[in-house]
Amino acid sequence: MKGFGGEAEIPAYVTPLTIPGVLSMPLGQGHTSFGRFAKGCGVNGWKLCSRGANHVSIQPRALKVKFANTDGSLSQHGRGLAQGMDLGEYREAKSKGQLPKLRLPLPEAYDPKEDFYPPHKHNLYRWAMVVDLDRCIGCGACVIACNAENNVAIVGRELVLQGREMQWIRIERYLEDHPLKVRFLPMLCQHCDAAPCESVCPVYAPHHSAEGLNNQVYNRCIGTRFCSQNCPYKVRRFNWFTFTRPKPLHLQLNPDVTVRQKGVMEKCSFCVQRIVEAKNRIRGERRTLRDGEVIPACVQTCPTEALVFGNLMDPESRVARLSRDPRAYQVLGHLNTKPAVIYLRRLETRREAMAP
Amino acid sequence: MKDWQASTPKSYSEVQEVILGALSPPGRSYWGAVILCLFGLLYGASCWAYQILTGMGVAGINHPVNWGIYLVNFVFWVGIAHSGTLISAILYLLRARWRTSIARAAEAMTVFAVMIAGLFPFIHLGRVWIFYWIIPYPNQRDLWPNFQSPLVFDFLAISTYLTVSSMFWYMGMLPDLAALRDQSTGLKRRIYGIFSLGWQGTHIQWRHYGTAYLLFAAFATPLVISVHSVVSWDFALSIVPGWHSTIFAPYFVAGAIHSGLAMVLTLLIPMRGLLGLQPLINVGTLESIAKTMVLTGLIVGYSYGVEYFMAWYSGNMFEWDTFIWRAFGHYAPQFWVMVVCNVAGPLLFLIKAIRTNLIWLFAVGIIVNIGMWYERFVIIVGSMSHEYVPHAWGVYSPSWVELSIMLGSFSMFLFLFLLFCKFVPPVSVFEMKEHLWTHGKV
Amino acid sequence: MKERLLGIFTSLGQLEEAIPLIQRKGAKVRTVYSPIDCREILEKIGVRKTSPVRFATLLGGLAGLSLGVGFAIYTFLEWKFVTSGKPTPPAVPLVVVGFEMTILFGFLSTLLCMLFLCGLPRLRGSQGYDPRFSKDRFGLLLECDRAQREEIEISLEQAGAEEVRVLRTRETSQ
Repeated sequence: MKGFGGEAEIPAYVTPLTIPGVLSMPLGQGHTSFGRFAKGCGVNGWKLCSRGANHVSIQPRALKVKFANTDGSLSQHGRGLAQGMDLGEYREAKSKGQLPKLRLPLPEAYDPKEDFYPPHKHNLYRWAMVVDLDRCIGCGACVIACNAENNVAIVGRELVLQGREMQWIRIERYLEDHPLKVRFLPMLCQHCDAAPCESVCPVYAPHHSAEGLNNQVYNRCIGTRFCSQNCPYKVRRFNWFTFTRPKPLHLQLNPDVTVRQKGVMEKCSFCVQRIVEAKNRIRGERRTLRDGEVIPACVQTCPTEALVFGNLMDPESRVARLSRDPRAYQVLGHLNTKPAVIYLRRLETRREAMAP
Repeated sequence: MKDWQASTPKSYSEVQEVILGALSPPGRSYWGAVILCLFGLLYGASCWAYQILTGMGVAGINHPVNWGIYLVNFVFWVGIAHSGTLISAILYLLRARWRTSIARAAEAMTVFAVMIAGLFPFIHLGRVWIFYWIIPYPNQRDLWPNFQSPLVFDFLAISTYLTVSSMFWYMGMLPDLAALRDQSTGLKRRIYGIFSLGWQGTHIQWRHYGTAYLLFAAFATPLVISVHSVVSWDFALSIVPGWHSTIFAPYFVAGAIHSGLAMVLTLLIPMRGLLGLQPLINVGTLESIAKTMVLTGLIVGYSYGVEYFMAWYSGNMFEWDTFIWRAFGHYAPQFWVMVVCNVAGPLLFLIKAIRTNLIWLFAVGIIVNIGMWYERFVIIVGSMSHEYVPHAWGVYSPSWVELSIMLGSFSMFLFLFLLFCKFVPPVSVFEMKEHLWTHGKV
Repeated sequence: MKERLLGIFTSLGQLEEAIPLIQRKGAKVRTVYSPIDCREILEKIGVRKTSPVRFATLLGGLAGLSLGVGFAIYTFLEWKFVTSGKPTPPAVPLVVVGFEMTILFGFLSTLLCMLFLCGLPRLRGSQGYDPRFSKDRFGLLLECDRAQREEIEISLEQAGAEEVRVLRTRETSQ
């Protein structure tokens, strides 16, 4: 690209996500005065458009660049992971008071026809999350927040190209046809009631807490990686190396959360450190936590409030009320893992034909 | 030396001379081969040390393919081990005559293969320095391993199998080590004397030994079926499409015997030639192995067919999609190598001329070994690359560290087997003598 | 006065025929040495063919089964971790644990019992042992009165013994 301010060589990502014939470029990259770690990342678009010029010339080059994206596939192949719902149908279902068919991670939802084992009880809380796909704009702020809060390592472009990204929550994007649209699916640990990852660990590193969380005990993990194999959602991340933070980046670390060594498996913990902190705050008050008192980092940061967190055992909490919405469903619910993350279908108007 | 020129021994001393004559002091080419294998072993070990120091990231495994060729090699070596026990234990119980001349070498193959297989779970651990947490020992936190985990089943099964097969092999050697002791002098006599535990062949000893040997074989028999079933449940007890299938236990056991018999052919054909054992291990024995391989090859082929049929018949989109991808996706070449080598290869043995020709026997043995290695690769890596969530699909290729460690494992096997050939009687002396006795020649 | 004679044969059949011959003369068979399994002749000597090792097998197997399953149940009840929604203790995984421990303990007890009954490891050589007994000769070590020694030597040679040796008697048993 060549503009009045200068010229730069920029890789172009060919995607059906923009209008044909339009080239869009994000601004805000190519820092030069934010220190040594911000240097050399991307190109400063402002430089090309300085001095009031409003056109640039583009010359395609023959070079090919590998993009470090994490999509294994941009299509759902009919698997119904990110679902949509017609607006008219939704209004009808809502007026009729229809309840969604969910396999909730609560003892009430156990069905002897489907469940081999009896249910287990939880203490005062059963933590759950609701993700509204209609509100999610795919900005990725939740991912940044989670990385910052939980000391998740930045692995670098080379390792992401090898498939070793470290994201405890990720935004999956799936293209749907007729007409062309994209559905964003934030995927994080579902904290399943019948988590397939727990029983296959030989040393009990993951297990089910009394409040419904799937606890990963970093100290106990010997790194067989069977839990990650057995997770159908593939949300578990392995530390392939010991990722260090060069000074002064270590000042960014959250002191409430450990850093993990190489060979240890990690994943979303529903910000258990914030749950514990909230419980500590109300310790003298002889009451249970109220809805909205525990806010994980991703929930806190989401600009559209697409993520909601709370206690599913409390019927008046936001998550419990939203789980009764006709839009509610669970990803891969048929596997009967009883996930505690409930998704709300994206509303699409009748003009857009739905692929479930 | 062509087979029809060699004559079978006609007396006890002839039998002993043929077999123990193989233990004559080896030449330079032997020691050269041993040292080469030792270097390969040390190279593999140093690559493992590098991996421990740097992290699992030096291997090619990633997300979602968390298990790479370490586990492929693990299943491969455990599978090979099973044929040895089939030959030495199950065929003993069935009184199959052709088993006697190859049982010792086959059992040695088992012991070494299980030793190497047992290394791979350690190699693939992320934090191998705390591997001992998988062993149930009392500790101050009262923490125990998770007996629900298929990996703990693995640990129990592999350690049981290693103990049973190595002791079975050693006990089977006692009378032969006594024979070696009696015909040696000096330091050799001392060493063989210690290892033979003072065996004298009294009637009391034979009485207890005979019953015990039968019981050992009876214990080893269920292990042949159960150990590889337990290894297969590492995969079948998971939720991964393409793995979560009840066919895995018999499918893996049949595959194990198939690959093990191929390895027996690969090892024994050079061994009998180099050690001069042609009078004892005749082509008829090798032909029997080949005929068994036709059977196991057909079972393996049938299993492939049933897997595909069930994936389609179940109507489970995830399962069917995985199987289509296996045949036509990124790993399609490996898949077709697997099918051709494992099913079509052994069918060549239906032709008598092929199954009595040493070169063809050796070649098909190698082909089936390659095919069975790729089968484990396709099952393990092929399923993991293409699971439930399309966003998480990914491919894997082995890195130089993984290939080096694999080379180290093959070197270690060959190293141990070469030592076996020259320091331990490669054929069971007393059992071959018993053949002469029971078939009225002496 | 007891005497010990060692008859060396080249075939098990000849040795088998010699046994009733010398037993009629009043000699007692102490040991038969053989490079191959010689259990066919055990009845002639008056020893049972089957070995009591079987009982060690049974006891060991049962011990393994109860130890394995019992220990596994104990470990589940220690912390009562809930994993994959399964109850503690779960029934199905105990099958594999019990099976493997049955085989391991049964095998090891058979092995130890066999070694014990065979008198292995044996540190000192025995009086009548000839190194050829592990190659292609069979030995018949018998005990008789001094008076009958000549007769028994003749019987042995009649039965086909290659060599008959008179061993120095000792107070200690072989």
